[in-house]
Amino acid sequence: MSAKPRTTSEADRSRLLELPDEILARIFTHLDRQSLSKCYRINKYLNTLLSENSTISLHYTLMCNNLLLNSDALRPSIKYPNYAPSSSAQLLSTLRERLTRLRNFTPKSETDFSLVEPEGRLYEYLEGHLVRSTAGERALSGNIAFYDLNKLDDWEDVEEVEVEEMVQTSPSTSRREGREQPITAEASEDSTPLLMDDPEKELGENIRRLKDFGFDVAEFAIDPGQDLLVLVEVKVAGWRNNRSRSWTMHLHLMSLSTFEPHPLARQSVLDWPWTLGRQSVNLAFQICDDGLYVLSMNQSNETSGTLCGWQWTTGWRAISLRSAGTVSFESFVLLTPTSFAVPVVMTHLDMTSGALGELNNPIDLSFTHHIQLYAFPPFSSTDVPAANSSEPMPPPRTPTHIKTIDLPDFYYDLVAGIGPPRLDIRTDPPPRTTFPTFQDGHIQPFVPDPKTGLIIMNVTCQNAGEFSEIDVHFVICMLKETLTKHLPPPTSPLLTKEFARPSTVVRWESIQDDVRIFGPDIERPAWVCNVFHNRYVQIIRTAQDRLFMRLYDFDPLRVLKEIRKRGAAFPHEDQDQDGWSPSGLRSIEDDGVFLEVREGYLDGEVTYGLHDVDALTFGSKLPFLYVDRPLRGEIAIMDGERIVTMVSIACLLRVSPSTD
Amino acid sequence: MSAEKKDSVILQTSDDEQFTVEKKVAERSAMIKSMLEDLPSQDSMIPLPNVSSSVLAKVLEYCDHHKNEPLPAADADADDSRKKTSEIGDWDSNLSQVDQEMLFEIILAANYLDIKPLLDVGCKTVKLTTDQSLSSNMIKGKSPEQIRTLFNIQNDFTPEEEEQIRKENEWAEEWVQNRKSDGLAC
Repeated sequence: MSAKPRTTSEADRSRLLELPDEILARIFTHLDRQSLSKCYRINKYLNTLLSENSTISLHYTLMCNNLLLNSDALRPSIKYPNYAPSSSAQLLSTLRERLTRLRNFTPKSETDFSLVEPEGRLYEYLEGHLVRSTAGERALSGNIAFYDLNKLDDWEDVEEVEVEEMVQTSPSTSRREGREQPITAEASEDSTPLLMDDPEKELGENIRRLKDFGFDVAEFAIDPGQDLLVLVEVKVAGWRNNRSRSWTMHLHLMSLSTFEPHPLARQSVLDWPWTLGRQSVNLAFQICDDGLYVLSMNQSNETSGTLCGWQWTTGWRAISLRSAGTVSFESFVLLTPTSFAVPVVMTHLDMTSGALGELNNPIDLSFTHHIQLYAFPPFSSTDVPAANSSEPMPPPRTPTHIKTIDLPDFYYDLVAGIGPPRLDIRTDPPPRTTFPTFQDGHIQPFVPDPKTGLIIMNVTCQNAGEFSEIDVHFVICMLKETLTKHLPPPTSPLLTKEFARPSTVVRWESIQDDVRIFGPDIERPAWVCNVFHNRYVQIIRTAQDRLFMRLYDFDPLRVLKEIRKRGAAFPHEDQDQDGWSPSGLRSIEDDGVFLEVREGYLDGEVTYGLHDVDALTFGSKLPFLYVDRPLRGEIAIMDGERIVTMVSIACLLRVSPSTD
Repeated sequence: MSAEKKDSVILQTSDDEQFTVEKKVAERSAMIKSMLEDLPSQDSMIPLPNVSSSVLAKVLEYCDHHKNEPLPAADADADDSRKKTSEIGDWDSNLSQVDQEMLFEIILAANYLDIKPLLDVGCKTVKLTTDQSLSSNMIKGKSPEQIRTLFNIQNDFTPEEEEQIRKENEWAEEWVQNRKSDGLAC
C-alpha cells in the first residue's frame, strides 16, 4: 500500500484521501459497481487502496458476480459460540478460489460415498442438503434419509482460508450386505456405522440421518436456510359418493435439524383446502422467506393445476389460484417473493371442424406452450391477526395474471399417439430476501442476488416412435430478468384489482434473442437440481455413448468480462456480419473455457421436435461460457459450492409416471 | 438540581468549549457511554481533544434527534447488506447541506466517538449527497475527472495507464441489470 499522500500545500490537500483507510473502505463499500469501477482510475493511491483493501475488494468481487454477503459470516454467533467469524480477507480468498474453481471446473477435492437406500421417486436437493425417500420407485414410506454434504467440509477448517469446497461426489446405490439395517426412530449422527471396513459407507453414514416420521410421506420440500422441512401427508377423508373415495392433504412444517415442529411456525400443520380425488399427488414446491407455495398438478379432471401460497410462519393462506380447464399448469418457480412463472400447455379446440360433437376426436385438438406470469401483493401489505387473536385470517388472494409469454410450437401428433411435450421449470435458489441462517455451525457466506439467476425449462417430448431414434428433449435457458422485466412493481394497483384484466401476450419473437435452446438430443435429466444462480450443469452423451458433464455459466457480468477479455463481439454489435458470422465464434482459451456468442439455430425439419417451424434462431443476446469435464455417473446436481454426480441409478431413468 | 446534574454530562472540545448534554444524548456515542460507565459519577466532564466545537454541535444535533431510538447492538456493525440501500432518513439528509470539509470532520468525529449510525450516514452521504456547487451526486454517476475535481485529487496516472485500467474494468461499468429489451448495454 502506498503511503497516504502527504500534502505539500493547502491547495493540494484532498480531504477525502486524508480520511483513515477504514473510513474510506466504508465510503467505497457503499458504492454500486459502476461507480466503484470508475474509482480505480482516479489516482494511484486510490487504485492501490481499492485493490488491496480486502473489505472493498470483497464488496467489488461480490457485486461483479451478482452475489451478496451474508454479514452473519463476519459476526460471532450466539447459537454457536465456537464459531470463529471470518475476516474480509478470508472470505475474499475463499470467494476468489471458489469462482476460479467453478469457472474452470476444477474440484478442490472429491469425495465418494454410497447412498444406502434404493433409488426412489422422491428426492430434493438444495445447498448441500440431499433428501431422499427410502421407499422404492412406487411405494411411499415414512422413512426419509437426509444427507448433509456440508459436513464433508468442516467449517472449522475455514481458518485455513481453504474453505473452497467444490466437491465432486459420486455416491452410488450399489446394494450391499447389511443394507437393511434396523431403522431407528430418532436419527443420530453418532450411530456406529455398520460397515466399518468400508470407508465410503462410513462416510455416507456420518453425513446421513434417517428418520421415521410415522406416516407415509407423499412429498417433501426443504429450505435449509430457514431450517425448514415440509412433509406432505395424504389421508383418507371418506367416500365422496358410493363409489369413489376422497383424500385430504396436509403439510407438516418441521425443523430440518431436529425433526420437531418448526419453532417459527404458529401451526405445525397446514391443510390443503380441497379434498383430493385420488391418493397419488404430483406437487411442486417453492419456499421463499415466509412464503410456502405448493402447486398440485393433475390431481383430478376438474382442473389441471391448483396453486396455494401460505405465510408458513402464521399459517395464513395468502394466495390461491386454479388453472382454467384448458390450461395445464406444468410446474412453477418464484421469480420474486411476490411473483411466479408457470409454464403451461394450452389446449385449443377447433370448433369449425367437421367432427364437431365428437369432442374427443384428436384432430380437433391443438396445443400451444407458454409461460404465464402471475404477481400478488407482498404478504406484509395485509394485516394478519396475532397468534392469540380470535379474529379470522384474511381470505386468500387470487394472483394477477400479468403476462403470457409464447414459446415455440413443439411437435405433437395425437393420431400417432404423440402428445404435446411436458414442461418443467427450475431455478435455484428461490429469490429469498432474507439470508440463510446458521445450520449446525455452517453458514453460507455468499448468497445470490435474488434479482439474478438462470431459469431452465425442460421440454420433454413424447416419444416420437418410428420417427425418432432418440427421446426428444429440449432445454430452454433464460435469465430471470428476461421474465421479471415484464412484472409490475409490488405496489402496483394492478395487483389488488378486484377483477382481473386480460393479460397481455409477449410474442416469442420478442424474447427469442434473450433465450437459448439446447436440444433436441440432450440427455433428459433424471434429477433437475442442476441449476444454481447463473450456472447450469448438463449431461451430454457423445456419439460414442460416452457421457461428459458440461458446466454452463450465464452470469451476464462474467460473460461480458470474458467477451471483453477475448476481444469478441456480439453478433448484433457486428454490423458487417450476421449472427452466423465466424467473428466471435466460440473461442477456446488454454484453460478450456469456451465462450459462445453466436446466435443459436434449430432447423425445424431436422429437429422435428419443433412443430411446423422453418427454422428457429435465438440467443443472440444471451452469450454464455461453458466448460466440459469427463463424468462418472449419469446424474449431476449442483449448488454454489459443489457439484455432485451420481452413478448406478439406471432404474430411475426408466420410471414412467402413471398418467391414468 | 442534583438530579439534573446526574442526568447530564459536560463535554469539552478541542477548542475548550464546554457542552452540557443530556446523558441520554451523549450516550449515542459508544465511546462516551463506556467512559461514563467507568467514571465516578460526580465527575462527568469528558474532554474530547479530537473534536472541535463546531463539529460537536453538529454531532450532538444528530444525537439529540436520535436519542429515543434503541442503541444498535454491539455487533451490528456492518448493516445488513440487503438493507444497504441508499436510503438516508429525512433528518439525516441535512448532512448533505454541510460543506465537504465539515462532512469529513463529522465522519471523523463519528468514528472517534464510535457513533456507528452517524458514521454510516456520513459515508453514504459522501456517496450520494447533493453538492450545492455541482448539484449532482458526490461520487455516484460521476466521471473520474469530476471526482478528482470534487475531492481535489491529483491524477498521477499517465493517459496510457488510465486507459489500461479503464479497459480492464469497462465490462463492470457497462453492464446494467434489468436492461431494456434492446439488448446488453453495449
